[in-house]
Amino acid sequence: MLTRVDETDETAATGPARGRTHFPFTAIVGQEEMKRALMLAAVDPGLGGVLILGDRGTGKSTAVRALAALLPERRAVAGCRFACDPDDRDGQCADCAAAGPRSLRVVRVPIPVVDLPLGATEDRLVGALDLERALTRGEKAFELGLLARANGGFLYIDEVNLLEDHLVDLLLDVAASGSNVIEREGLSLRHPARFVLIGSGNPEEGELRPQLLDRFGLAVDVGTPATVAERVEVVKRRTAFERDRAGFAAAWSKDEAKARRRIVVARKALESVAVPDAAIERAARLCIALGTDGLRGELTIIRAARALAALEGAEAVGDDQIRRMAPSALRHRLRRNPLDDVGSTARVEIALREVFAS
Amino acid sequence: MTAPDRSQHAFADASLAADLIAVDPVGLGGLILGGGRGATDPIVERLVAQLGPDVAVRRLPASIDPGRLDGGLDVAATLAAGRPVDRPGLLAEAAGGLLVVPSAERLGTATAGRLAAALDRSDTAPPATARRSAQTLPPIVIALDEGGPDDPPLPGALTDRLAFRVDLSAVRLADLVPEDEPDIEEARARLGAVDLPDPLLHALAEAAIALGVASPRALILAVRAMRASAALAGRPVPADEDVVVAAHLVLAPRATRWPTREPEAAEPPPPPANAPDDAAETGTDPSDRPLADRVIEATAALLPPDLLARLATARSAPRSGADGRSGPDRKTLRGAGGRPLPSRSGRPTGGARLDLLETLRRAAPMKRLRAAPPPGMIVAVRPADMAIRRHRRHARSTTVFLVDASGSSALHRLAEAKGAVEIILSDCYVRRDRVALLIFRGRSCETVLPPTGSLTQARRRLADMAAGGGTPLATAIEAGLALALRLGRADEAPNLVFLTDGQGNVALDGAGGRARAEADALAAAARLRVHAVPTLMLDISDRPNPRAGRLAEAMGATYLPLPRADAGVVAAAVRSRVPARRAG
Repeated sequence: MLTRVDETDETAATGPARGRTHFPFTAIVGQEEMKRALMLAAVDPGLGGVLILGDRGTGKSTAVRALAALLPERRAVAGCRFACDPDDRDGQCADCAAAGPRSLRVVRVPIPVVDLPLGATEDRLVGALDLERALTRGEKAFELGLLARANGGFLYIDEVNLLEDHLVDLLLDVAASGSNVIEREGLSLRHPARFVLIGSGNPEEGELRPQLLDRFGLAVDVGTPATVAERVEVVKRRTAFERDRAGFAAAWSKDEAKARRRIVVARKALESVAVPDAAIERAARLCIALGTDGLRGELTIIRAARALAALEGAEAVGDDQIRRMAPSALRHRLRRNPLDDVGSTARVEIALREVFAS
Repeated sequence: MTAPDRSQHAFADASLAADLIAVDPVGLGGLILGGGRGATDPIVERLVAQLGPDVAVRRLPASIDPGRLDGGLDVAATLAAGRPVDRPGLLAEAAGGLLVVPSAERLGTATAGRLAAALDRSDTAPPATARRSAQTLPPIVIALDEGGPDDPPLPGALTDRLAFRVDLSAVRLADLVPEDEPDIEEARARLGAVDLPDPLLHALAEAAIALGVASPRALILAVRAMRASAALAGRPVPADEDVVVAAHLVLAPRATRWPTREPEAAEPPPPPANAPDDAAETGTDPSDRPLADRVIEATAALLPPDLLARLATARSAPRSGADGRSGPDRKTLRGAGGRPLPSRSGRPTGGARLDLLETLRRAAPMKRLRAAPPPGMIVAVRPADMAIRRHRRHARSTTVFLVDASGSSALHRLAEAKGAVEIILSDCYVRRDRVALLIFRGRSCETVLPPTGSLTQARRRLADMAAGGGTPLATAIEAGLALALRLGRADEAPNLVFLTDGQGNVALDGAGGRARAEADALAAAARLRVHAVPTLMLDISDRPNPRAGRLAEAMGATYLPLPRADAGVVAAAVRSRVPARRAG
């Protein structure tokens, strides 16, 4: 039988509970598409994650780390080391599932944003036999991996295109099934691992595996700020933040609170946003025009458009939401032709014009 | 500003960079030094002296075990002490101290990524002026780039976060005159109060745009360097000199293009109203135009003289550094590579390495069942517990294209050849192979694209290719062989694809003459055959050329005349030469 492990070791989570001052999400200059995609993933975690592609130094990591501070708390089973969702009976760990639903005490916990470092070992990701306990007490205990920590939250991989193949395989399995199965070193264990995958990288430094590419719901391009004014604003805010972190955070706290409220309200509204048949038809025609494989493209456009409608307080998905979400939902799903000079974003826009003209 | 010796400049630059880092270690990240130890050691020593006697100095060898970076249970000490003993990782040990990375060009992307994450701790750390103590501080990284022009560049994740890079390879002994050491403590105390007037920020931002420096992080580092420079000089407001220092030390080494206005070297006042670039439209105060101009000029004057030449080859690689090398290399470190497989039982003999952790994992749960371990040990390890490490290493394939761009291979044939190459490239994409592109014409064979995973670049380079000149076939074969051997040493599987009509007319030594050229080519081909490198020759002459056929035979290559081969056949031929990779 497995013994419980107290959560005393360092946690990779970077949530507000860590007490560090992060650069505020709302203070990031420009990069509206990236910020919007991250907020949509927070509104609807089922969207399938966000892939952020673009140049170095454009605030990709800053945005993801800042997101942690923006997220509202979530419900979790008290004392469960996997922080199981009390409302998701199917997705709970063995202990929670065994306990009667009424005997579960519920607490509110910060939503974790967990960093997966490039050089991470498989043990670190999946979890392993707790060597310290085994050595000192001869006990067989499970040491949580990053996948367990990310349950119910976000798993962030910077430079995802450089991630080693064997880790990608692991990740694909777990992301698809929502649970992490460990069968090694005499351990036999399954625990929930539902997380929103956030990846960032620069495709010029290595291509992303097609299977992993397809996993991401939305893909956004981030570019370098083009104007002097915008660049200077980036530097000014950064400098102000460095000089007085607390003061800077306080100055932006109203915007942050507003953004957090929007996410909370949108989550509640999500289910009641209507998706008219006309919107589904538009999405389908768009995907046919672009020749995307499978149904994931259509489903993602609809889902993202619905989350966007919820975020903006609209009651139903309309052309406007479809039009705005199509590029990020489709640009990474076009049949890949690395030799094509026309960027995939441009191809989506051409198709949009055709579909919406009729 | 008179023009002193460039190498002396470099040493003074590196000294100044070290001083600026000492003033703002958290903000500036560190320094990349190119060149041998003779010149780089004094800079490291200077920085150590500036930071004070209690600063931790650690070295991070490129061969570091990933576990050692992060720390964890110290198995040896745990067994000795009989209680768990944690060992801090190297990154924790170097927190707030100096981390010297020798041979940084061999640092894998994974290690570089961890280092980058450690440097990002400045996001959450208190400002630099505070006395450095806690482990939350980032290390100061000194990366020593000892690579030659053919070596892969330093991983971008790291170079983007280190403010300065100085090439000391041209520095002579006589240049090593130590610069005066300023008072760092005082400068550090002044740093927080240094003002940042808008016109200066605008000037730096415009210089960054003029030099094609895209990363916003570079601009932020430049601004920090400007403040540190002002603090060092005791100025409460940065002066023009500080702006120039920042542009010169931070922006110039990252330049990807020559500033739009060519500076007139011997003309001190700003150039006459030569149409300013688009920056003018962003509504900056007209009074700071001259400053921006001066910054751009000063920077341009200090750019390496061969920048233009290097930019010509690196044109379509925006991410490449000023050294013109492109994209990071993705190969795993020798010895560390391969997908780890579960360890299996066995003794560590015949080169197999003991998997210590796994061995202990197997022994530990048996503790209670077994007799007491020998004194000093807490677990009894039996031979049956021993496990050895296993890795499955599948070599990554790299397809090297050697394209004949000489006059003899008619231009229209070359266009078809480009089509064939493109089909092979999309194949490489599916297999996630890497590609390299070498072009030969005139007297030489030029590496247009070093091995890269970015096929987009390969295509662009190919499209830019023009034809003309002699056919140095022997030189091309030698170059292909040399690259294949180098890839082989790095555990990669090379494939060569020649596109030529096989009519060499330039000998190995660059002299003309068909007879000698042909003899040289056949001799080179024989050497290639000895090494058994998988090779494909696409004959791009109008009709199959017997010479090309003979040459292919001498190389031990598959011969495929293009006239009869439509593009699909060509791609299939390449596929058959390249061992299939496992799906996905």
